[in-house]
Amino acid sequence: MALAWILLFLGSWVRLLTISGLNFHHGATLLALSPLGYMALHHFLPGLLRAPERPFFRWGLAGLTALVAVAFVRLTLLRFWDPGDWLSTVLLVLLGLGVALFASEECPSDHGPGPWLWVSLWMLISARDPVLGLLGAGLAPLVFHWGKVTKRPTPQEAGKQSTTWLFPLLLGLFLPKPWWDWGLQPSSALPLAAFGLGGGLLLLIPFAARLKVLPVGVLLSALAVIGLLYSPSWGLFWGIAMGFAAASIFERLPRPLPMGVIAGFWILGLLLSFTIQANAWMPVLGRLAWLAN
Amino acid sequence: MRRVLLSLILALAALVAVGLPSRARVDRPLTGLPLMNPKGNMEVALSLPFRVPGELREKMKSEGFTEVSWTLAGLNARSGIEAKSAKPRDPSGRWKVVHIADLPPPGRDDLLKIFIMRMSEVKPDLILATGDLGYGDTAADFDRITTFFRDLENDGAVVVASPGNHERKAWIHYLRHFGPDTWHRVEYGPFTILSLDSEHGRDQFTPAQFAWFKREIAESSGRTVLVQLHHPVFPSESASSGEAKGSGGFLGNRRNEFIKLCADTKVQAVLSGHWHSDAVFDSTGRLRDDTWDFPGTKFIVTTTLGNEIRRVTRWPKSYFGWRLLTFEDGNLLSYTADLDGDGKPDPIASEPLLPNAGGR
Repeated sequence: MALAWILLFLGSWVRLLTISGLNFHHGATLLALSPLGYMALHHFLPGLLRAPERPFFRWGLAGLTALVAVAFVRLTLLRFWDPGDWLSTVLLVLLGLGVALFASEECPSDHGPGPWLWVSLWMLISARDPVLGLLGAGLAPLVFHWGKVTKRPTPQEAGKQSTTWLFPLLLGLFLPKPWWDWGLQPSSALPLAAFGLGGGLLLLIPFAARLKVLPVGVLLSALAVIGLLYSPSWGLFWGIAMGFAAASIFERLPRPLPMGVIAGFWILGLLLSFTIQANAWMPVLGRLAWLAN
Repeated sequence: MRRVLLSLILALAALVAVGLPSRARVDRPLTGLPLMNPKGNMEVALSLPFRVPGELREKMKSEGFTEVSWTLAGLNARSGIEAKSAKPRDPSGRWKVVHIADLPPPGRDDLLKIFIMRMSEVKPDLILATGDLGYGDTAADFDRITTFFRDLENDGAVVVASPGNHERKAWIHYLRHFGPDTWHRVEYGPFTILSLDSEHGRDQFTPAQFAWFKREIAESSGRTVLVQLHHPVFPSESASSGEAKGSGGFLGNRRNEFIKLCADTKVQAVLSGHWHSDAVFDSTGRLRDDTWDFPGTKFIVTTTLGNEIRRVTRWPKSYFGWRLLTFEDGNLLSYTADLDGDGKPDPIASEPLLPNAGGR
């Protein structure tokens, strides 16, 4: 569920904001930024953003989130979301809240390939329109908490704390390259779909167990190197390799996942990535990001 | 397995729910964007895969669009119209291409009307509008520009537009009015028009865009190739007079390759705006204020059609203007104005929009 919140909701949300831009003359635009508040709540008041435990209410909340996602996407599909539009922005904020309530919980399926393949499917569908990624996020509570009362995550070995912020930062820095590279062309979706597929494959094949032997530092370095080597001509292979590296690191993050930190650094990485690709008069960083191109 | 199946059914049901009733966004043809892609296709994004709304289906049928091929994002339909076989409007058989950039801001519709009147006299075949199309940031501002382009097209010219930096301020409205393809190719008569997006603040091509450009230019042999991008390829540098210094000439680490590609493939002209000032460079980046007639690709910067006038290079003449390029047998015959009336084209100069040159 964490993957759907981070990659599908927050990723699509930032992408839509970079497409639409922020016009602070509209009050609705400030509202559009409220998912930042959910991240803060995850970090400072983790008990607050939690879905109810009674099955009836869980079902209701998950179903309502899915309906809000459908309503938002119906309004914006093929029209490009305008953050200044009150109705669609309120729906987006409610959708974000619904997904955020389930985000910090874990269910047995979270440890299988399912969430990665779900991300892959919706990244692929997003080729038609980037807003469709948010539909995948909105359906995720229904799919991954299907009538189950989710068990509380069991604490495990904390691992290297630096991983919890460095991993999402690197991922945010490199993963959206196809978005900035291809713009709104459908080809931008394919490397991201391959990324989800790579993550799913890693957990499906025995190869995954071998990667667990590697130090996290090596995997993080691999993620950064692969990220740097992005090129549109080998986008599919790049996506799969990124997925392999990311899934092997994600599996080793400390549990319960520090959602506020992960989401915060993911957003920071995305924004930094956008700033670098938009150059912003930082030629050295810009060249570094496009090194292999 | 049952769970996976139910998840997929749920996803499918949600996609149907967001797509019904079936809607379509026609990405091409659009006024102000390429009429046709290289194969003369219509490109449509659909809210439901494989389901074309009835009204659009009728329109496609009546206009001869057949041989539908489906894509992940929608469909391509082959057109019965062969844009390549278009004939020049001028009885002499010469083709006329008009270049404009940095259009008048809201409140200066008088300049747009003057330009429309001038075009009804000149009768160009193509009008290339290279970014900074309106300086407005509301839907109404973009309506104003599409109406302007439609008026020009109703008079017989084909308008091909590309975005500039000011479009980024209201990107959502640009996308809604001009579609999501910010770089594109148009075939019309003998011309292949490659429109690029030089990206606000980035001043460079993304890898995907540059790869696309290389592929398209390789497939354009035997055609008269024109390239338009908003930001000038060369910096003013040694020829600078101070204004807009440092603007233009970046294009990241792909600039030299871009220039070489244009020269090697005999691109006739690379057309830019952004400076609000006229300039012409050769492939070495030298400002050609000595002559209009030199071999190789012309890197042309055209002044503003009606916004603030600047003086960027040492070229002394500044005014609101547009540029007329004439072609015969696929070759560029002229692209500058005869300001002094001596019967010969001057170097660099565009055509003044107003009789009194409207500037300084």
